Amino acid sequence: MLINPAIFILLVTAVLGLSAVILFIIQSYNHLIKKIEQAEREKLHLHDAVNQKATEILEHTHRQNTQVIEDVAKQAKELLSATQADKGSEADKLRNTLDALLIQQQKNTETMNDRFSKNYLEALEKLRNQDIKSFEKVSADAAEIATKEMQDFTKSLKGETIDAHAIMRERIEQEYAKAEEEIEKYKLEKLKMIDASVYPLLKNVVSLVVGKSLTQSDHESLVTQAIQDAAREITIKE
Amino acid sequence: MEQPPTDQAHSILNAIYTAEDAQEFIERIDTFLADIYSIERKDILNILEETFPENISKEIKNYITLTNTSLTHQEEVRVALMKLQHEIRAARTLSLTLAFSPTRKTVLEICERIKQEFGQDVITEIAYNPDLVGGAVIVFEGKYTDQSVKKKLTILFEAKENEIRSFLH
Repeated sequence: MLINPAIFILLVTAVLGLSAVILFIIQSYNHLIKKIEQAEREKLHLHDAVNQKATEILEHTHRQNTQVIEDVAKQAKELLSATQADKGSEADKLRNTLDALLIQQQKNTETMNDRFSKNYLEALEKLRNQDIKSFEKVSADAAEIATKEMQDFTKSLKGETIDAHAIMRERIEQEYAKAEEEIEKYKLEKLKMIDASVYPLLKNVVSLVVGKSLTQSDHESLVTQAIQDAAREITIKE
Repeated sequence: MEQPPTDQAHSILNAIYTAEDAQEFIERIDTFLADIYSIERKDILNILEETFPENISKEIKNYITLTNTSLTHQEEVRVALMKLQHEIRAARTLSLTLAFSPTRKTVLEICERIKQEFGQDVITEIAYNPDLVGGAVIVFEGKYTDQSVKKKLTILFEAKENEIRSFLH
């Protein structure tokens, strides 16, 4: 079975177009996956940064506490040695001082904890906002790229389709003109053939009609005439 | 080269119209001659009259008389009749092809006309070809002439071809 070349070309063009669409979709997905991976890496990096900062704060707090305790112990030792004689009153003073220091230390610790928690929450909030913004940006970028590429592809496909249509139209017109020319040629040949055959046919028909219309008497007269003409002709030839 | 018929044979050839008649005449002579020696001398004339149609037997008797042949001598009659056979075979023949199948009466009329135009001794050989439409094709002494309606129509169509074609278009 033979396929019309025009249909075959159209089918090939359609297959190529579909292949291009599939390739474009694969490329878009690949691009999106890359963006998501990049965002994931950025998120991990931020997590690490936050953890490091928290650790630094905790270490700083620990160092401050240790320093305060050492200072307090040193002051206590000095007070103990300075007030050896008067243990009773000095002991009360020391107790009061220690209580005040303890309360101060507790306040410091609470303040530090509050600051740490606040900083940690702020960092987390910032990270969350960055994640959201990053994802939004990635989505917007991907959508923009996809839209742009889709527009480019549509434009290209439209251009190719228009070109293919123009080529097809031109070819069809050429084939049509050629076919018309061949038909015209064939028609002329056939007319010539008919013209050539009509005349002998007419002659045969006339002969038949004349032959059928002749009576016995007509035949006899014609033969008599033929004999006379033949005699004359032969005599002339002699 | 063919010998012209003798004067004695002329009257018999005048009585023979077609080639078929001539063939029949020759065959009848053969039949007659086959038994000629078993016939009594006095009976030769009677047998001759019985063998041939009246007009032909009359012509044969004339021929025998003109050739100074004794009707009571078998050998002389045989020689004379064989000579007659030869002259009939050598007679001038006209070939006539017709477009129709004629009756015996028409054949005789046509042959009569031929004898008038071409000579009384001419024997006609008739053929039939309906393609001729009408008229006749004649061949005589090596000369051919087509006097058929078919030929006339061909000439007419050739002469009037442009005129007829203009009617067709």
